[in-house]
Amino acid sequence: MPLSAQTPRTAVRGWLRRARPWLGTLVDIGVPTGCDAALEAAFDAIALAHRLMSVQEPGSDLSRAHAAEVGEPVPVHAWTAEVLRLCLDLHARSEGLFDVACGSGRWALHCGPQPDDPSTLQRLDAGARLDVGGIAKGWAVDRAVRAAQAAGAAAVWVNAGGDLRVQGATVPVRLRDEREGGTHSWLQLSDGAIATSDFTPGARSELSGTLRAAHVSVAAPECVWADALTKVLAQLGDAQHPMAQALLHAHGAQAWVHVR
Amino acid sequence: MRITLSAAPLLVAATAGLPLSAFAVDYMSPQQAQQALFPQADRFTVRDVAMDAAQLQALASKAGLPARSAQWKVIEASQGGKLLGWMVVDNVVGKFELITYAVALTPEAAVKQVEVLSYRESHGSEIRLPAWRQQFVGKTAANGIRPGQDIANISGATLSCSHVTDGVRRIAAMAEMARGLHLLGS
Repeated sequence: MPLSAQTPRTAVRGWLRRARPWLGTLVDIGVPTGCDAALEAAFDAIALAHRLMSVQEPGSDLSRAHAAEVGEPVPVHAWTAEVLRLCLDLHARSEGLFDVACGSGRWALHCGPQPDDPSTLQRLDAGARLDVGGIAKGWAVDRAVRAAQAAGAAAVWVNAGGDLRVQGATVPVRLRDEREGGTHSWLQLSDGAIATSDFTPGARSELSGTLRAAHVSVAAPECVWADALTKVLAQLGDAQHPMAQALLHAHGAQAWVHVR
Repeated sequence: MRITLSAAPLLVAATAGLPLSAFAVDYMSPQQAQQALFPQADRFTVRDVAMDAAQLQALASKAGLPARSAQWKVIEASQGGKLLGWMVVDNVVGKFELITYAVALTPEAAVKQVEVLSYRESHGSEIRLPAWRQQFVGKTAANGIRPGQDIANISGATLSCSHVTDGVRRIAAMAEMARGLHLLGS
């Protein structure tokens, strides 16, 4: 991934910028002025991801799976199935460090032989509870970017409470000081994604059962991997760790460890 | 993907020692919000809702949250005399942030849409100082705003918006009560 000082490809004269509460955070979306339909298409994608995967929504796929009996297969939307498939994949590649069940119990995803076949989610232990909050946020950002582009936006950014992706433009990114508040001028991002996680003592979020917990950022072409890899990197606390290096390389990503 | 660093790309503490500054985005003024939330409306009327102690208690119990205020300014949107709904503007304070948002409600007082009007993030403990918060009250996007100019974004640990969703719940409960008690004047 080259570092460069190129100017944005798209000269946007003005932005239509809106923020709404979704996914348990604020979602900030920018499109060129006049692309109102693209803005709404992007928010529609965010809203769908919220309704399908938020554990705060009683009717979401995950809430229905939690309410079901152990072993009962619960049909899930194709989006939920895709996110869960990515969770299982990263769980295996991170030797269990990435765990959306946080050690609460075992679960299984069953996909049919054809891409359009319905998928089901099954809890295998009574205590199993899944929270895909972080990775689903990154995934929803990617879907929202795609929806805005499909609706005609030549440039777009979507920032779901710190999980940011931008396409077709260059956006200044500021890094929050998680201790004192306020922000630092940090970098300019074009055509890629960046996510930050802070699991140091006293942070907004906590990881269970980890030995190390750091404040890290990951940049990657796709927001789903930027977000998911912060969870692994925060636990490794070391971007030079062989597992970190392998995962970053596999996703064209790079990492910053702000506080170990 | 292209990244241009403002700071040296150190793996540890890349931003340590850099100056901290506040962050602010103005999305819409309350006037822009009422037009965006009720594009068909040809009239907006301010309704002042005042609740007595018993009504406040009922509101707190209905919302499951402290009632917070006895005075509410409700904007009524109508078209040709027909009620389209209401809009209420509110502020909430989070860990470091002050958020002004607007809630649009249907004539039945159900939440139709929520739009953030402004986001301000402080450094230090400014956010806890009434004087710091007060300087923004009533000034959302009122002056010095250049829509479409400000495109900076924050990356950080996921911000919880539970204080916004609590505020939306309180406003929905207030509107439903005010409607039932005929405090909205229609």
